[in-house]
Amino acid sequence: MFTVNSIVAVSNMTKKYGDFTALRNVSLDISPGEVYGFIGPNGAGKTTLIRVLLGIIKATKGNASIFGKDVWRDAVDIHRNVAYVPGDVNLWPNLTGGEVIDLFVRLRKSKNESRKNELIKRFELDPRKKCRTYSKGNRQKVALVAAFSSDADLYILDEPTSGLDPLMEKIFQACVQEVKNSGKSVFLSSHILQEVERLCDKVSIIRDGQIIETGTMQDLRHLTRTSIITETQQPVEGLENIPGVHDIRKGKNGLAFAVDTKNINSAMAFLTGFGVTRLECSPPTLEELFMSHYEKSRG
Amino acid sequence: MQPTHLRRIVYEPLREKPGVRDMFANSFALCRFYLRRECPKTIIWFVLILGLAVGFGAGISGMYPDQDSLDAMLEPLNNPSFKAMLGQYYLDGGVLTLGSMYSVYTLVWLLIIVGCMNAALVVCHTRKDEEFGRLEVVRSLPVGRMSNLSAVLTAAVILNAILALLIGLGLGTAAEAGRGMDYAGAFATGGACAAFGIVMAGVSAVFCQLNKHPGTAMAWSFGFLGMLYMTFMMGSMQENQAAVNISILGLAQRSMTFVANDWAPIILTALIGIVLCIKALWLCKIRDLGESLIPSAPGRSDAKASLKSPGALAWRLLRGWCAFWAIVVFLLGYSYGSVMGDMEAFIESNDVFRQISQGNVMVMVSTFLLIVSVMGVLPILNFMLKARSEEKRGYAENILAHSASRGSQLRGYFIISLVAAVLVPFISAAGFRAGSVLVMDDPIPFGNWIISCVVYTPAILVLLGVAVALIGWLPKFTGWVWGYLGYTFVALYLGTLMGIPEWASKLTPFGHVPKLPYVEQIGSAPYILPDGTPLLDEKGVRVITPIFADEATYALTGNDIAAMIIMTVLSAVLFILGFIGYSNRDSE
Ligand SMILES: Nc1ncnc2c1ncn2[C@@H]1O[C@H](COP(=O)(O)OP(=O)(O)O)[C@@H](O)[C@H]1O
Ligand SMILES: [Mg+2]
Repeated sequence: MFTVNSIVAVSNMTKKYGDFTALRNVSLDISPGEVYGFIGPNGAGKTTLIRVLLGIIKATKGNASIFGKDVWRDAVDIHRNVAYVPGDVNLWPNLTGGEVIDLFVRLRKSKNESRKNELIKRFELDPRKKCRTYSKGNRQKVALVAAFSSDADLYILDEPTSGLDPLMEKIFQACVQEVKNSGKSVFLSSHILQEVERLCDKVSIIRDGQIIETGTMQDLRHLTRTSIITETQQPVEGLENIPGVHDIRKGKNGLAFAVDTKNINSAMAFLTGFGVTRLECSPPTLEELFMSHYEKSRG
Repeated sequence: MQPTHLRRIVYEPLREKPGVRDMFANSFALCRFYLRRECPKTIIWFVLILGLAVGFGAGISGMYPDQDSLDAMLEPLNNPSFKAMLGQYYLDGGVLTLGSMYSVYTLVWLLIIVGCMNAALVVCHTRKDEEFGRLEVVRSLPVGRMSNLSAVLTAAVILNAILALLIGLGLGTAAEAGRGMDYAGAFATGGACAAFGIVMAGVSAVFCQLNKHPGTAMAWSFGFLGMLYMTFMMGSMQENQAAVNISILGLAQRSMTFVANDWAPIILTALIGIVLCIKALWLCKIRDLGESLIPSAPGRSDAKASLKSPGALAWRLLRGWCAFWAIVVFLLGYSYGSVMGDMEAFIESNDVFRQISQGNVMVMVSTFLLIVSVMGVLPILNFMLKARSEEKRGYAENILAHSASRGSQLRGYFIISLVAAVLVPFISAAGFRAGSVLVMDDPIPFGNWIISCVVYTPAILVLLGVAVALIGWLPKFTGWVWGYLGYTFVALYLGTLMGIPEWASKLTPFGHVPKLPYVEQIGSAPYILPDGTPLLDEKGVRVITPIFADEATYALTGNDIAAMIIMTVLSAVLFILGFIGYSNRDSE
């Protein structure tokens, strides 16, 4: 008898493509009921990790297990309880979306007709069209419907919203939330920080095949900065003295600066004294996050 | 608290090794899926193959209405060039029956077509699906590492079995009963096809594990089939039984369909196929999805310095095709050249040939030259029309937006086509020479082949000119140049058969090409040689055997040369017109 505390456990995993190291000593753990974000720029190795987890490519070194089973050896067993949406969904051009969904559901043998029809309606997918005529977003919807209509314990989603419009993104987020509420785990890779921020309990940041930071979204607050552009009635003096404020620039369209997310309140309080007439906030981007990560680790 | 569904997983005992069943999990579901998906394509293949097998089975008794006509075939069948093409024939109780004639005429070709069907099927659902990422989601489902390949191979086996039954039933029913044709032979024919089909399915499956790109895997498979046929030809010609067997085609032929109906070689062939399939499955098990066992060279990160002009880009896109077509044209010349050994027998083997050649060997040779030259236009037009298809697909915009002049965009494809137009006649001449030199006692000199092929160059250039002019002025109708080529073929090749009037052949540039080697025809009476001797006596039996290397002349008359100059000038005018039109019209 043995038990697992982690749905997914990866330890010291390395994957090489020939001489090229796509993943270097990657470790992570996903607990039951957790939505785990995996974030990194293009080419960081997100898809590679997912493909190793799915047992369709073999790790060069290290262990990876899902549900306590080896991802390579017990792939078929694991897959009975895993649903996957690839980043780049490719389907048979001369099949309809509905046929593809049915094939996937049938291969998994978890039939849930009503759930499937509900999802098709929610994602506004026309299942009678040939896959050839689908846009990237529509192909993604096919994979999403197939994944969410199956009764899996772990959902692996590789940049699932890269082709969806904002409305569909909302629906996707709702689906993730529902899955989470029923106690299942989600592994979500993305290069969009906001998406991860909104959905995930825990996040790993990967760059050049290495995980550089892991923690809850709260833990990573120290890394996130909000960019602000503002116009005020009186010229702003002394902003540089407020803790956590960086990169102050005066431009034609007002004053621009960045502020650490944890210091945002004091900065706002300070600004109101000058009579704010306009305020634009842009959420932190991944690039800014990396910049602050390297600034912090350097000094 | 853990949700209940998690507990279910957590307490499952860990097995030491994944079961074999896991490796093939869901294989049958996938197999059903492929069979359904393949249905339309399969029907086309089946119609083609059954049309050939059954249609010929029904028609052959009309071609050889009595035993005398079959006995007359014995001599040509013993001829080395026939042996090379068709392999060994078998006698049934000392006589060449209709069944044995059918067998030697069609079996090898049926095998080759069935082989092509299997290669296409396997590559399409393994490497192609993999390369296009369609297997990614499939493999994330409870589907084993070998499930997909085993599903495809199972589907191939099932399709081959159905095909074998259909051939057996169809051919058995269609063939004239008696005269050595029966159901047993028909089913053996089907069995041989199925067995060879499994071999090619296995071969392609192995190649799909070795190569990353479906195109390469397909090319290897067809190349392998070509090699088998070459081996078969060589082995049959030299009566080298080992080579014949190794070619597998020859092994399957040894089942002596309609004669002995020996199933042992058929079963052996099928076993070879199954071993290959197992090998492929084993290779599939040990590799990553999307990877190949032969590492593919990484693409260039930056373009070579030479890839800076649109012309160089055109070359980069076409160079693979150039090599492919060069081989095709050479083999075409080669295969026609290789029947030169016994042309008389070749002509007499078939009414159509007899009519075309009017019983004259040299007319037949010039017809071969015509056929190969017209075929040689295919790659040239293909290269040129690439310019148009690139434009249609919008790729050309990428280039045009980068300050390359419109003319230079077209020029790249034009130069490649022009070079091809000049080279193709030489390549086909080389093919003719290579094919004929082995089988002729007194081979036609290479120079004569070259002249005979190169006289077609001006006509080829005119067709290229038509293509360029259409691209320049009537881009919507560029496809019509194919129709013109088709007309050329019909008017000149089939013209003699169908009695198409003389002027019709003059509407195409190929009608103005001097047909070498020259044969002075005396009067309108065929069957007469330049020196006045009749070729055949009144019963149609050959009187003399001309050695056409000596008798034929390859000298061009003043009129010929004038026609060639006029055609060359005409093509130049068409080129210039086309370029003017292209640089002045809107891009699409
Ligand atoms: N089959 C492969 N062969 C060689 N290199 C690969 C292969 N697949 C991915 N890579 C490389 O591995 C790195 C990580 O790729 P990937 O995991 O797809 O990144 P991400 O999904 O984060 O954008 C990239 O640099 C990519 O070029
Ligand atoms: Mg990716």
